[in-house]
Amino acid sequence: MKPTKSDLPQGTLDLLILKVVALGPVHGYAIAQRLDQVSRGVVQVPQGSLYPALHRLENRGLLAADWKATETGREAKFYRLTRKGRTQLETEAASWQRLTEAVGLILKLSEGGAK
Amino acid sequence: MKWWHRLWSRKKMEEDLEKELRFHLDHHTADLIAQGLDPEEARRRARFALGGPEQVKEQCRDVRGTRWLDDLLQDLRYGVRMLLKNPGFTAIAAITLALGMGANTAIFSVVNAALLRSLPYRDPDHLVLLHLHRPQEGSSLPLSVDFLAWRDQAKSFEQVAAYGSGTADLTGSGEAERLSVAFVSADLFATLGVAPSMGRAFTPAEDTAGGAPVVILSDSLWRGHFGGDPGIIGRAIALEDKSRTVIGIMPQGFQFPQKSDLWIPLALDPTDELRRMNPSIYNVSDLPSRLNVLARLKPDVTPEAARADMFVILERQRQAFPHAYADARVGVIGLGESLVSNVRLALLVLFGAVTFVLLIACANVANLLLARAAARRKEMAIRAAIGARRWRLARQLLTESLLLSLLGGGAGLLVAKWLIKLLLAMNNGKVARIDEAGLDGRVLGFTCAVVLLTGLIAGLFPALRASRADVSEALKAQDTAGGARPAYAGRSGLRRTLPALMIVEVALALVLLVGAGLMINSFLRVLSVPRGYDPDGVLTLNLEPSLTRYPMRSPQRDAYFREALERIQTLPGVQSAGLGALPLVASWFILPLRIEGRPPSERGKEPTVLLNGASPGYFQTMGMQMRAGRPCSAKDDAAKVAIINETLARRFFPNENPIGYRLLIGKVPTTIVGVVGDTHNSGMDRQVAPQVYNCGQSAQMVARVSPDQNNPAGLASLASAIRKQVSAIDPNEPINQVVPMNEHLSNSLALRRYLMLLLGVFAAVAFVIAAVGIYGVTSYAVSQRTHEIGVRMALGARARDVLRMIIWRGMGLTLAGVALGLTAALAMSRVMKNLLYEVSPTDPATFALITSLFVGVALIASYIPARRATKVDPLQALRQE
Repeated sequence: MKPTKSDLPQGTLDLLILKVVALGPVHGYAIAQRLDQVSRGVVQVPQGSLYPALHRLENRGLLAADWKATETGREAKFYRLTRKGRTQLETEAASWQRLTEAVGLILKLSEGGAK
Repeated sequence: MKWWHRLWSRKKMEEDLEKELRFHLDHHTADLIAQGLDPEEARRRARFALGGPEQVKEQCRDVRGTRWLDDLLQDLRYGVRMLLKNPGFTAIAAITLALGMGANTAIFSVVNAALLRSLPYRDPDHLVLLHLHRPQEGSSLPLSVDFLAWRDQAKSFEQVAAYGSGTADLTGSGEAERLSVAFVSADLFATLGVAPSMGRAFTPAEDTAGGAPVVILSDSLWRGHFGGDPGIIGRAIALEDKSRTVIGIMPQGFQFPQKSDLWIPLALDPTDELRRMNPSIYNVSDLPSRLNVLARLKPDVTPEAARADMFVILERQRQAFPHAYADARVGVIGLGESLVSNVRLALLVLFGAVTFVLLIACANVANLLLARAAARRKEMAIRAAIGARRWRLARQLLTESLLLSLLGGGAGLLVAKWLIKLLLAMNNGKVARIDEAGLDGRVLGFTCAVVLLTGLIAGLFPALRASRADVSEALKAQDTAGGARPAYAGRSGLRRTLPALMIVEVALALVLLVGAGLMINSFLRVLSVPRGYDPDGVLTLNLEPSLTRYPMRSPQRDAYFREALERIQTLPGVQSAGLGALPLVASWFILPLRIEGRPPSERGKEPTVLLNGASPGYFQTMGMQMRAGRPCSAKDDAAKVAIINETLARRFFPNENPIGYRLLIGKVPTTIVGVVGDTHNSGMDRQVAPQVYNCGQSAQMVARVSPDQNNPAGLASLASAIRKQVSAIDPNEPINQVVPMNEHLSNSLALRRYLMLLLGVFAAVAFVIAAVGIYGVTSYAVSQRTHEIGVRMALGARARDVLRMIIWRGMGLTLAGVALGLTAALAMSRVMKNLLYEVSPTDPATFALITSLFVGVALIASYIPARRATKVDPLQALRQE
């Protein structure tokens, strides 16, 4: 598999997608926009790697997709979280939380040491 | 969704993917327009943000998990389309491969049948034949006393069994039928581990002198002659007028010893033989019978250990009978090995040859693929530019070459089927194991492996080279017309690869040609060996009257032979006839030679001679020349006169006239009355042994037909007349076929001839392919250098200079290939040493001839394109820039 061209740490893109989709069925373009908005431009998600990631998650059964009409009346592929996806999101989020906390602690520690 | 599910909905998924990305682009564009960008710019930015749609699609397909299958299907479809688009190319490549693979499969099937397949017996690897070499007798077969000694004293074997074979007439039910009968010791079947399919095997009691007369039938005899009647068990049949009870039927396909119709107990009675072991008399009438001895090694005993064991027994025998065992040596040889030892080398050489042919075919197809890959360079570059990775491109080209190889393999199976039929016809039952060659599972597996390997070998190189295409360079290269500077891969790529392949082709072909040349040279030498007789217009018939009614050396037998001779001599169309030891057919008695009046040799060290009979008229009929003295005449006392052959005269009477000397080989001394020219008895490529003819009769009748009858029709009608005449002597005697002498002669050379023919054909094919290769590479070089040649000619180069330049290049490559090939041939031809006749494996004449042949053809092959180069019009060539 190709490395994602995202600046995000490996694996985080999946987590972010799962989180956005958890808020309700949403199509690819909307996911891209929402990631952009919410992160206030800090997180740069190259749109090119968004779709392979979506398809991968769908293949793994974490996402499901339906074709539905948007408010403009065009058909779009809407992704929603499966039960498996929700569980995955919870574990991933929790482990991310633990990781960042631990990293934060370590960073603090080293600053304390320097003082 | 499972992967196979996705496979079916592939088309739908592609549409969805397209729709999803379009939606994204449209939405983004609309948003950007809403932000105030003009539509054109908005669309451009949206596209840029998403990245190349095709690349995104590729990545999406990648995560599907059916990628390999999608690709494979796509490659296959594409490959089939490419092959169909170039039917000429496809046909040439497939035919080349079909020939290579077909020949390979056919030879492999024979190798498989003869060398690889295990024998249909229990633990065949433990079965060995036991030999006793007695150098003075030129025989490796033990006597029955040897067999009994081994059976009773050897510790290395689980079982030791003996067998011999002969013929017997099945009488009593209509016309007599001559059958092959095997005499076997009771435990032969148990040693082999094969039980009768019906009834039972022999008991030890039946295998004694005076045991109950019993017989076991082969499956084919039982079905063919007795209609497969199961009630045959317990019934009696008449064999040589003696009644024997059928006690069993062997399973279908059981053939041990080869081609036996029925088996009867050996019932050895060694008392006579033991008496003969004493060094008193040793003459024709008392020739001991010889046996084949088969043994099963104990599980942990090696053949070497068994040999040591037998050596101890031999020493004991030597002490008891120093005369009979003077120079004897024991031998243990695997049964499987012994069955094919005479063809093993020939088969391996052939297998090596076909492998070479296939490699050359591979190189040739690789050449074709390379040239085509060059033409498709632009296509590859475009595919690379829109996101195909290198391995992906290589894989597609490999799929194409594998398809080609598969096509060739399929056609190759047809070639193989036909070739196997041909090989079986050539073998003509000589090597029984080869008769079972065919396209079985293992052979098909081998062919599949060959197809795969061939596809990889032929395709890998071109695939790697083509997929390395430099995108920008390939796209920049102008597509010039006329091929003045075609868009070939890299600056050096093809120009280096093609010649390398060509050198290999030339080298391989040269090795094959040298091999074939050595065989042809040997064959010519065998043919030019003086035969010593004139086979043209001679018909032969092997007389084998039943031993029961016409016992050896009985007056009945003599009368039978005499009457046969008289009847044939008076047949219209027959010039002369005789009875004598027919070269290539007769079996001779091997006896120690003593010459009266000369000091006898040490016991057991006497020189040996071959003894047989020749009736008056035999030498004349055969066209054999008397070198001195006279042939037998009707007035001679048959047992008292002898004719010796030239070899005997030369060896034992180097400076004397042998006529008048008396030989002590039979019961009575015989006087030498003549010297006759040498004939080859066991084969034209064998040494002639010293031979003695007495004036008695031998079992082969020869008849020379008159010149006006010496044509196929005349020979055929005389042959049937001869059979009719002989058959009239005793209607109960089955009569053999009448065979023209020329047929015996050609049969004796069959193996050598076929080996030569096959090697010759393989070498010729390789040679043609290599010559075409030289032509192709030179043509290519010319087409590439048209421009340069134009410039040279514009600057004043003459046609001769251009010619020399181009030819020199082609010849340089050829010479490199020839040098490589000669080195390889020198190293490899040694393998063939035992197949050659009076030709050294490094025979300078053959090597020189083949090399000059090759160089000559290479000259022509590069001269033709070179001449074309001189026709280049400088203006035309330069204008194309």
